[in-house]
Amino acid sequence: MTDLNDLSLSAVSDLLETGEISSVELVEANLRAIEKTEPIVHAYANVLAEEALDAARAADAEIAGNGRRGPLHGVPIGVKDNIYTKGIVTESGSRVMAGFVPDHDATCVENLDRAGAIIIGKTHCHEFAYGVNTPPSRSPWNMDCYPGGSSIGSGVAVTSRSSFGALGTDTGGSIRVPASINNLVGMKASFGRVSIYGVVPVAWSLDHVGPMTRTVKDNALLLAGMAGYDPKDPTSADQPLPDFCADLEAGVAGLRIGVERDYFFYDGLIDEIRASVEAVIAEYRAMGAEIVEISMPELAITQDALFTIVLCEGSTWHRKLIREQGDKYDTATRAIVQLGELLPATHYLAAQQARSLYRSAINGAFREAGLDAMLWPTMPIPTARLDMLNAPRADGYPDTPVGSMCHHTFNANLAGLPALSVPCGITSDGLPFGFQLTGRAFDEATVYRIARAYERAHDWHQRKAGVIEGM
Amino acid sequence: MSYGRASSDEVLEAAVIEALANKMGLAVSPQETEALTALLMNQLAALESFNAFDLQDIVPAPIFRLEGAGND
Repeated sequence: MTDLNDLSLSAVSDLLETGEISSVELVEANLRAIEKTEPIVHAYANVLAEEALDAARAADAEIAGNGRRGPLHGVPIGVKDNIYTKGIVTESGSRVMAGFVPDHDATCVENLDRAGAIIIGKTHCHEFAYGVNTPPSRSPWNMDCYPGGSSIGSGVAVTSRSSFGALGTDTGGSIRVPASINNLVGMKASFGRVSIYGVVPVAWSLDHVGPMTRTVKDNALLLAGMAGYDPKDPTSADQPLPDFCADLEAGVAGLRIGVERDYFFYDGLIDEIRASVEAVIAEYRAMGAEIVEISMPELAITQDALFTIVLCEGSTWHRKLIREQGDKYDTATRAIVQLGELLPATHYLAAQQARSLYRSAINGAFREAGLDAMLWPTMPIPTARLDMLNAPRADGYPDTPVGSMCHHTFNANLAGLPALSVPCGITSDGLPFGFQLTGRAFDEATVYRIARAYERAHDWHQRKAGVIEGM
Repeated sequence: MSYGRASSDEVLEAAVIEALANKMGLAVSPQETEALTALLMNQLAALESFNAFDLQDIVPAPIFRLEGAGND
């Protein structure tokens, strides 16, 4: 008999719809997986067993009486621990926030609650999502390797089959990087698509919340449940919310996909990923998409622009905390927070000028080449050993693994455009990796459509990590 | 995520950075000063990559609302 935990979010949603399973059965299945996997992978900061079972019983009763509210009703999901959950401890991976219990939900959580989703637990994250300390989560694909961050627990929970989907946050790649490393689909939607109200900030002008799932359709369903205009968030965009699943199976014939090679297919891209992503491009061409070669030399400034903005905006948010509770920060995070205060205002504004230049370049490329999306790898390397993250890369390329990991992801945060990581291979060492699709502003639907055309022809999303396989 | 970039040749006095940081209320310990100075030296070099482009008359993009496709 199939383990419910192996089914996708959309598959269990269909079973709930037909009454073949109950929400309580789903929560119990997740809790069994948590009991087995957590001693090894440590995805959760806080498992909400009783709360989730109570919510599932209420969902089952409501469904029996009035039918389902929608595809997420009765489905358990994980929530990253830097996202406020009313009445539930939210610590953002930091001793600074130890024991903090928000008196309100983040808007994205409120939206998901309204859709009937159930929170199975809060997932670990790097301290304040900076990505510089070492959380306890481990990768079921290789226990010695980095599982990605800063949405580290969300990635590990979904790939470990202890959650059908989870929320992450992404300021420079923190959804897409762990998605790529954990063989998942991860979406950083358009800036403003999902409210960041009630999410502990890293950098206000770069922060995004988004879904991490095993399939493209799951991702589209979860995004639909959390997205929407929020007057409480000054960065929220009052844009129509389309049905992200409407054209999922429409294929890619006639669509135009841009490929930039100088920056994204650089010497730091390992051969196995290069070959696989080239194969993805060839497949899209064979499916009828037009591949358009583009040039964007402005990509060269994206890393420096993003670092500068993150450092300055982040340290502004931490200004009071670092002075009052500075001793509670992890050493690495503390140094980053101090650093941001020492950068000149002119550097921050120059970085924002560079960002303007890059936004003009990428939006111009979309417009002038008539593109529907752009495609490149999610990461130049699959991941790296935990003890070698800051060492020189083993393949001799002059960078560190941690320095390489976000080379392909920063740009989408600067531009605010939707970017999706999709699984497309597993290295000879057994480490998954993905490719990335970037779309036009607020056109997540086309990004999902293109991703689904590839996913339909492959079974990467069904592969399980070795550690989990035997459980 | 990793912060910082290729190091600049210019050298900052650690004592100056420590004094500045403490003046700002950051309570930087002597043990932290060296690492913070190195991070700052590297990060200040970020502007070097911007110099390859003419940013003179570009209006900075601080917090913005993304209004739709083609917005730049």
